[in-house]
Amino acid sequence: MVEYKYGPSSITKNKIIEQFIERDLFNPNITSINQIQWRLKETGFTKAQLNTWLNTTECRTAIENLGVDKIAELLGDASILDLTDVQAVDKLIDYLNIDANYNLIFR
Amino acid sequence: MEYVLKKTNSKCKEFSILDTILFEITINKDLLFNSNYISNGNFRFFGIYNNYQIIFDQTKFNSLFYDSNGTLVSEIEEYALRHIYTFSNGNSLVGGNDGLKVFYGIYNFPKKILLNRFDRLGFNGVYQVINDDLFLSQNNEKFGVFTFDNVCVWECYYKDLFENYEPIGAGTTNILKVGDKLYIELDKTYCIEIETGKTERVYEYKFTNSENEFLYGLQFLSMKEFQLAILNTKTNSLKIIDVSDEFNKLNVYPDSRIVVDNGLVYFSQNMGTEVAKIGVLSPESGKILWKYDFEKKNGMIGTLKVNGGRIYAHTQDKTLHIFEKESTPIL
Repeated sequence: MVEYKYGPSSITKNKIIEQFIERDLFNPNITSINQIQWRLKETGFTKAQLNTWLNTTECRTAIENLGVDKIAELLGDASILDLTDVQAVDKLIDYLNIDANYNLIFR
Repeated sequence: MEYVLKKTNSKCKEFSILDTILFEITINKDLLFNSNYISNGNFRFFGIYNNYQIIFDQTKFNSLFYDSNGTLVSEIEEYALRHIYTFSNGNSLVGGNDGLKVFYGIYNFPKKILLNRFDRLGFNGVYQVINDDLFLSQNNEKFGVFTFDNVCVWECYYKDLFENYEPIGAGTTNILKVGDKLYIELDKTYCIEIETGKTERVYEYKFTNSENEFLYGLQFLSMKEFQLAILNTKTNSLKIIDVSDEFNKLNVYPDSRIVVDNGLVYFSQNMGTEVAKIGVLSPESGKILWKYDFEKKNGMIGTLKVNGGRIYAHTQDKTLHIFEKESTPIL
């Protein structure tokens, strides 16, 4: 699944919620977070910006709505199944805050 | 075959079915039993043990056990324990969370004794228990079989099966266990002997589900061409059913995720449509027996389960839709 974004206003917090979290991560056909590919051109979007947005209440709620099972599947880590909702949300946000992981999706 | 939408429960965060009894956790994380309020709290489902629904209290980090009457019958106070597997000696493999760390353990539920605690098992936790002696683990590069002493019996790199496999990032590979074989879904399906880790056969088709000795998988040949592949793993006979016309005439592009129950294939559609859809496909006739279109406000279908003649579809707007065959007792 490839999403193309062009220009400085093409990625907003709402698009991260509606398109990245609620559409791409929620998709039952996606079993690996790296199946999601966003191609960016002149967006000015950064890992730090993503991390700031993901830590807002709205984004955290949207991630929590994925469910712990889905987060465990996306990250391929069965030990996530034993985390609380909050811990599992942190795990996903922390994963995306690592350069190598972020760069595999947002390129 | 006709299913009827009998009930919708909004504000459902997650659900679990104990025998045929419905437990729900609301978006406020309260617990419901057959749609009736039981307890408020900060709950999550944590498996089923011996006909008890286990609830994880995420505030107190303990486990609550409810029976099929919705009655709280037991509690473990030291940690939250998720039941994974019961050994033939009665002990259980559990996942645990004590508020500080997650762990795996061997637990005796009747005596409430943690017999063994592991900070780590396998490459990345327990993907699937094979039997009393072995479990399967996987990460983004490889999968392997371990003993419960955490000794790796054998491991296999995905790239050794599928040379174009790229071990990047994270995710889960679909691995099915039927009898003494594992079926690994990559570019094709690779049949591996559990005992040795050796590849026994390779199938050109992808299989995503199993029921008894049968494997099932929808094949996507193009945007308009679909096949249902069914493999009898005992006889190694393969049945390919062209279901293109059935899906096309109803304008359905199915998800790769299916559910198989009593030999029927339950499918969903989430992409390429304004409204999500579910339906039932008969492998016998190759016909779609029933289809339902959700409303746009429902969004995508997350969890899809079939149990006791009912279909449970949990949609993105946190609504649980329960469909019943007309012959099924009314909820």
